[in-house]
Amino acid sequence: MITVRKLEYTSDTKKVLHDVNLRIETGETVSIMGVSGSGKTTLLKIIAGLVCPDSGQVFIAKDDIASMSEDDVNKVRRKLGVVFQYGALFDSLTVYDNVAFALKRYADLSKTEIDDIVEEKLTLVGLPGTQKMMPSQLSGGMQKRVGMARAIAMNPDVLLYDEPTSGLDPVMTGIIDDLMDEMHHKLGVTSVIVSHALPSIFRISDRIAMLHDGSIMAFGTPDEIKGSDDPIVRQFIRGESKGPIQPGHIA
Amino acid sequence: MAGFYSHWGVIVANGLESAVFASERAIYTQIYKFFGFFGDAAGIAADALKRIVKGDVSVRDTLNQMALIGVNSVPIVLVTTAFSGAVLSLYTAQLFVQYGVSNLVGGGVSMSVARELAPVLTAIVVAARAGSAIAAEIGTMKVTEQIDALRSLGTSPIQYLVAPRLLALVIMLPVLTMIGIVVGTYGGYLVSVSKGVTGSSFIESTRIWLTVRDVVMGLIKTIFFGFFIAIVGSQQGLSVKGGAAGVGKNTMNAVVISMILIYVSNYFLADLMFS
Repeated sequence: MITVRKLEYTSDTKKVLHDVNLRIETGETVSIMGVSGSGKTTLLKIIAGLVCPDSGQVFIAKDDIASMSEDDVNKVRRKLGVVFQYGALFDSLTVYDNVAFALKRYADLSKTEIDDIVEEKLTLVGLPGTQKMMPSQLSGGMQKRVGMARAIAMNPDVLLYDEPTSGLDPVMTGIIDDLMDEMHHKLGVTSVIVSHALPSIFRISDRIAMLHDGSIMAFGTPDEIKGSDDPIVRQFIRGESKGPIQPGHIA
Repeated sequence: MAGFYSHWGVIVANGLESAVFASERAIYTQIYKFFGFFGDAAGIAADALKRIVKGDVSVRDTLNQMALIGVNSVPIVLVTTAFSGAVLSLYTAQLFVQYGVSNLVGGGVSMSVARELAPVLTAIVVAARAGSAIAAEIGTMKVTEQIDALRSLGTSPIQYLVAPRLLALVIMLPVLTMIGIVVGTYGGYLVSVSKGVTGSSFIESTRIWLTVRDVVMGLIKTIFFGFFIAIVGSQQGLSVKGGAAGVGKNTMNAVVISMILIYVSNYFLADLMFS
C-alpha cells in the first residue's frame, strides 16, 4: 500500500532523512519509533504529501506523490486520513464543521447524509452530541478524538497518526489505543503510527520500524524488535541512559 | 614587543575579516529573503488569481471576509478620513480666506481627499487592521498545523484562505474609500464653514474642481492597495516559522511591507493617472 524508496530530506542544512526505505502492506499497522528529533514526524509528513523530499519515491498504492503536482497530490490525499499531534482542529469551526469539512467539499451527499456520517464518526470516537461545540471547549484528548473523527470521515484507505497519545493520561492513552485498534480491525485501514509510547506501539502494531540517524535501522514484528540484540534498539526500548544513543542525539 | 603587536594585529585582522564576512553573509541573507519574499508572493498571487478567475472560491467565505474586513472597518475609516479632511480644511481655509480665494477651498479639499487622502488613509487603516489579522490568523493556523490539516484534507490553503480574502479586499477597499471620500469632504466642509467659508461657495467649488475622473482614479488605486494587503498578509502568514514569536514577527512584517508597498505604488499610480 505504501512504499518509500531511497528517501532523502534535508531541512536547512541538516540532513534529516537519509536513504529511507519502507514497505507497508495493505491493512497493516506499522509504527515508527525513534528518539525525539530523529525525523519520525518528517517521514510521516512526507508520506502524507505535506513535505516534499529532496529525492526518492513515495508510492501510495500506484501514485508516486513525491513527483506529483500539489493539485494531483490533493486527489491522493483524499484517500488518506492524518491525525495530528495536537488535533489541529480548525478553531474557527465547530466540531460538526471540522468533521464534515471534506464531506461537504468532496462527497456528493445530502445534508442529512452528512449529519448521519458526522454523528456516526463522533460516536465511534466516543464523543456523540458534541457537534455544536467549538474546539476551544474541548480537552486535549477530546480534540485528538475529534481529529480522528475528521480523519476517518471520508473512510480513507490509509490513516497516518502523529504522536497520537503524547501528553495524554494513561486512561485516555488506552482509549486512543483501542480506537486505533478498532479502526484497523473494523475499517481495515492501513495505519502508520509515529510514536515513542512503547507500550502502545507493542500493543497495536503488526510491525515496528526504528528510525535512527535519519535511516530505518530495524524493522520487524514487535517480538522481533523486543528480542533485537542491536545495542541502539535495546537501549531505546529499555529506556537506558547509557549506550550508543546519547542525549541530544539528533539525526 | 613586535610579537605582541603582531599577535594583536592578527586578532584585529581576524576580527575585521569575520566582521566583514558576517556583514556580507547578512547582506546575502537579506537579498535572498527579499527575492524569496517576491517569489513567494508572486506564486501565491498567481494561484489565488487563477482560482478567482476560474470561480474556484467560496462565495460564503468571501462574504464573511467582506463583513470582517470591510463592514467592521467602517467606523475607523469614518474617524480617520473625517478628521483628515477636517485638518486639511483647517489649514487651507485659513490661508485661502486670508488671500481672498476662499472659493477654492472646497475644490482643493475635495480633490485632495478623493485623489490622495481617502485612498491612502483607508488603505493604511485596512493594512493595519485587516492585513495584520490575515497574517496573524494564517500564521497561527500554520504553527498549530491547521494549514497541514487543510492540505491533508485535500484542500489548498490558497483556495480556502487566500482567494476569499483577496477578493474581499479588492471589493471592499474601494467601497470603504468611497465612504472615506464622502466623509472626508464633509469633515472639510464643516471646518471650512466654521472658518468663514460659506457653505454654498464650498459646494460650488467642489462641483467645479472635483471631477468623476478624480474619484474613479482614486478608487482604482485602492484595488491595487487591497491586492497588496491581501497577498502580503497571506504570504507572511503562510511563511511563519517557530511559535508565537514567529507569528508576532510576521504580523508586524505584513503591516510594514504593506504600508511601504502602498506608499511607493501610490506615487507611481498617481504619476500614471494624474500626470
